[in-house]
Amino acid sequence: MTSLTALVRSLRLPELDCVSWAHAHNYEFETRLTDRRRQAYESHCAGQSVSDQTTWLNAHKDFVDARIKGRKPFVPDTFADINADAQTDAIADDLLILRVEDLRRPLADQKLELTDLRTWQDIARGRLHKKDVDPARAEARLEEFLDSWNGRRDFRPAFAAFEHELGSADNLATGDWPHLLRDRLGLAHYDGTERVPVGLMGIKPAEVRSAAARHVAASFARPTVLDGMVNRYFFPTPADFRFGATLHLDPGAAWTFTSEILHFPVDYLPKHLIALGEISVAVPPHCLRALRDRHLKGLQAEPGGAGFGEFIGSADCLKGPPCR
Amino acid sequence: MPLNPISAWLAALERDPDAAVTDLFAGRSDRGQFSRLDDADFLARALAEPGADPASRDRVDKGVSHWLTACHAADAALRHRIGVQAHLYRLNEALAAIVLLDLPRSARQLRDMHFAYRRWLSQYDYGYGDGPYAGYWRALAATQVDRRFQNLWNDFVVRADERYPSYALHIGLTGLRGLDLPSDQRLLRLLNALLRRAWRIGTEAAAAEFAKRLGSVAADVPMAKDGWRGRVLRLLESLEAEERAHQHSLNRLHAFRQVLAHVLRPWIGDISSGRATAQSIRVPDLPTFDERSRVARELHESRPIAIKHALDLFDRHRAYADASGEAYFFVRTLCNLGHRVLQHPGLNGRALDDLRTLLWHALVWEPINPYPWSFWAELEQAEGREDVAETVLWEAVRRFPDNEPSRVELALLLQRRHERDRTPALLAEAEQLLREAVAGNPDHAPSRGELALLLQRRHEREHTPELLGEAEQLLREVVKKQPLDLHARSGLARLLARNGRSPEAREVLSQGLAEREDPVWRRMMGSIDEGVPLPLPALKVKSSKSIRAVADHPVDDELRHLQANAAAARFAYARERGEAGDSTELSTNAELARFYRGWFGLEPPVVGQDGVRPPYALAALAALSDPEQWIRLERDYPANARDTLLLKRYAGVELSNEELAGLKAWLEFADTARALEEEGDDGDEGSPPTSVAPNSYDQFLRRRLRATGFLAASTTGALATADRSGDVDRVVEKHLARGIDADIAPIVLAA
Repeated sequence: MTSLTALVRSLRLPELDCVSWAHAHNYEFETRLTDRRRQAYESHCAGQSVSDQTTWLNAHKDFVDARIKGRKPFVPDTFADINADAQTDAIADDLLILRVEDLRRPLADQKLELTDLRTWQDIARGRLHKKDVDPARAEARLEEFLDSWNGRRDFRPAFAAFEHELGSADNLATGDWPHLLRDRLGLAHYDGTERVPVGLMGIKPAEVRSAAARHVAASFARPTVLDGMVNRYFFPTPADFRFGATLHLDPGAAWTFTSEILHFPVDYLPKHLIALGEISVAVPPHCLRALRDRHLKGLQAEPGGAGFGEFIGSADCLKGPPCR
Repeated sequence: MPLNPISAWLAALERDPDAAVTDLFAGRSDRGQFSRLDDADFLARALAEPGADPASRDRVDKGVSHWLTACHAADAALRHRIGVQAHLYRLNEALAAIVLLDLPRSARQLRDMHFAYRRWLSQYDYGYGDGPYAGYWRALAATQVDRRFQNLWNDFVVRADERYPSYALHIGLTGLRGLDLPSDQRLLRLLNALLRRAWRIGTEAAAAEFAKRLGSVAADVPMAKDGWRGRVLRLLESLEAEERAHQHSLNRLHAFRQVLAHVLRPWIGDISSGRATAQSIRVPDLPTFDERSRVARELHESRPIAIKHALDLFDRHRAYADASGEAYFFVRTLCNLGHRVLQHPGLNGRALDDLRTLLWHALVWEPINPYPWSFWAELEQAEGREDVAETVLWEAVRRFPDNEPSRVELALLLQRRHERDRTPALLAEAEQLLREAVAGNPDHAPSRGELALLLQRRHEREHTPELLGEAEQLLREVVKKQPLDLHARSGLARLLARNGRSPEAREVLSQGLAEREDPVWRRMMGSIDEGVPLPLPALKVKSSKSIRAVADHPVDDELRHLQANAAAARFAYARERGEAGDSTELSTNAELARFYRGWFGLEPPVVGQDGVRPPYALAALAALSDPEQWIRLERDYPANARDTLLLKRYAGVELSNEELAGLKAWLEFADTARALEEEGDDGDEGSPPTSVAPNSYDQFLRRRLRATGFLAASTTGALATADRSGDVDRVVEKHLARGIDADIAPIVLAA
């Protein structure tokens, strides 16, 4: 047993809070790491003298910063051979992959507002008429915005879901999709305190494959604990599951299995931009333990999920009322 | 774990902004449910926290600026510790934070430290837009407050995919869109850059791209099609004028216009119908080749009206550069003809003021062009401010280490000063500069010629035959490679004739005349035949009488940093290492370490938790002012052990017998080739190097210290003088400054 494994197990003590349990579960029940990837991670942690949860989180950031968020042309581990066990190509070509993109940086870089994008998109799609700005010009401007944004994006894996599970993209676009998807996809870091402009992007698997092939990388992978920062709202899935599963943030909503996949980034064109919106409403109040236990129950009820994982046995619900 | 990690982090920020920001980037801060946010996004979230202290933004700004400073100072160490990928990611996040959070102090630091940061981050440019080099430019474009980078944005647009990576295009467009100009001028500038890009590439696809980008611009600036037609036509006319000025054939341009008309039709209709509108678009015209030639002739003939015409010509070039983004003609014309203006007998104070104003534009628009710096030095000398000229040239040598003319000019200036002041240090520095120029570029004839002259002058003072031999070899090498070089052949003939070898001198000149009839060689031949001595060319010692009183006429902020004396160059270095300060202190002769701190306004960075260490020179200065720092200096910089011994001796610190013996052995190590052969390598630790390049800085340092009697003098106590004006002070200062240079990667002249 490695020291990291021992540390992780030690986080599952009744006297520790549910966040510690969450972190421990995410690593301990991760089934998709190749031996090589796990060894690389554990060697990294050992090299950083990981001895407790704090130093573990610190080491994990170093690891992710280097191996997932590295700069081009380096391909992150997610799409490299070291992650072969998690990679998949079981994505039918006729699916539409949906992703929520944070637009703050490209807007700030280009000194634009969300309303600018909305205006161009509306003109380009004939929903708005403006003197001396025809749809072709608006489309060209939108393309320039996206082109500039594409230029600054790195190769980190894109967390995404599928239209056939989330609902028709066109229908989504007319509703409160930013909050609906924020909650359903477990994007708790967009907690509504600051207004975050977002874009609903829809891409075809073939486009992902084409982009990945140019860089000799895998196209798709099921998410693992090492593909992002230590995240209490991440939950691994059993080895037999075709995809990952997002943690629904709304305890009031019926639990549904929402498949999650990581894909190689694609350069966006105007056709990919389905809708524009803003996240500005708070995450529904919830208890982390309740959310995670409910999610686990759902996973266990799915084919191949029996006996997977462990319910949180913390006696410390972050010292009192629901944590959010 | 804290229930609200944001509040906990903000509390840490209030206690210690630098530590809070450093801990965040290093992953030592608990982010709770916000762990998925990138570093810059977490900062944004923190500042949005309800009830957050309004001062938090300033604290973040301060923390980010200090973090960047520390990264710059300890770049290699950080990279080795956390790996290059993590390092680049975090750098990018810091730069992104400046834009995302609108951090004015950090943005100003990016501008102030532009030269140093550009050099620092360019080493990490792999041609992709997600790297910190692109992030740096992006931040500059998004936070610009003036037009200093306008020509660069223009260049980015025109030359992306050629001189610059492809991501530069969008950064340039953002920069041009954000220029503080009336909207119509801004629009013209943007269109002009896009047009010139298409013109440069020249393909039909490029023309189609221009048309599409014009469409994109038009989405931002609703305007009737005729307005666009007029503007495109007017800009094409301007391009044609430039092609004529280059004396290029217009065939290619005419073909380009036809293609352009075709691709623009779907977007703005028939551009030829925009002629009436084009006539109403005001764009400065580029002066013609003939106009320039006329002004050059007038200056050559020293006509009274020449200066006025020259200044008018420069200003028209400047206006064209300002409008078009093409600074090439302006800078070239200013440097070439400005040189002749400075030699005009009618030069007055007002003309100098105008030249100085024009020069500022050249320096800002083309910061990596060495020629404006040469012109600047010349201008300062014309004003009788030779000390400032020296400072300028030291800075030019530092900025453009591969530019031999800067070294040659500085060497000449130092020799001229020596002629007046009789300061041996100046001559030694001049020689070293020329040796470095010769070593750096074997094909640069002027540096060889000037070094040969300097060695001859030394020989005539010191009667050292080796110097004469070396001078002869230098000249012979040039003559062999460049037989028609006037100065080298003349110099060689002169050297031979002055040393009793007239027949050889005659032969050298005959060989030249066989290739080309030259009146100078012919005259020299005649003098040799008549037995008339050939004098060494005199150094043109400029009169100390200046054109006007050296009063405190206003200088721009940019120039103020390099005023007063040559020591300013080293502080400019230190400033570019990450500290800021008040340059007015340069005018006082302050104690060295205190001066550095006064210049910085900050304490130098100290050894910290992340192993961040200041450059050796800064740490050494700290030790010079605080003897208790010597132990730390020795411990933390073992590779600089010899320098530490030198500085301790300089400061009057007691050395052990063993240390003294080692220092003495190093100082007394002979530099001649014969000595190198004789001494061999005994392999002992502390023994002097056996293989030393002939023009090495190490040799130069030893010679200088021997010349000042360093070791012997140091037995009587500290050698540092109160006002740092002694010979040893100068050697130490220059040595430390050079040590700072060594920490900085060589400049890359191409962006």
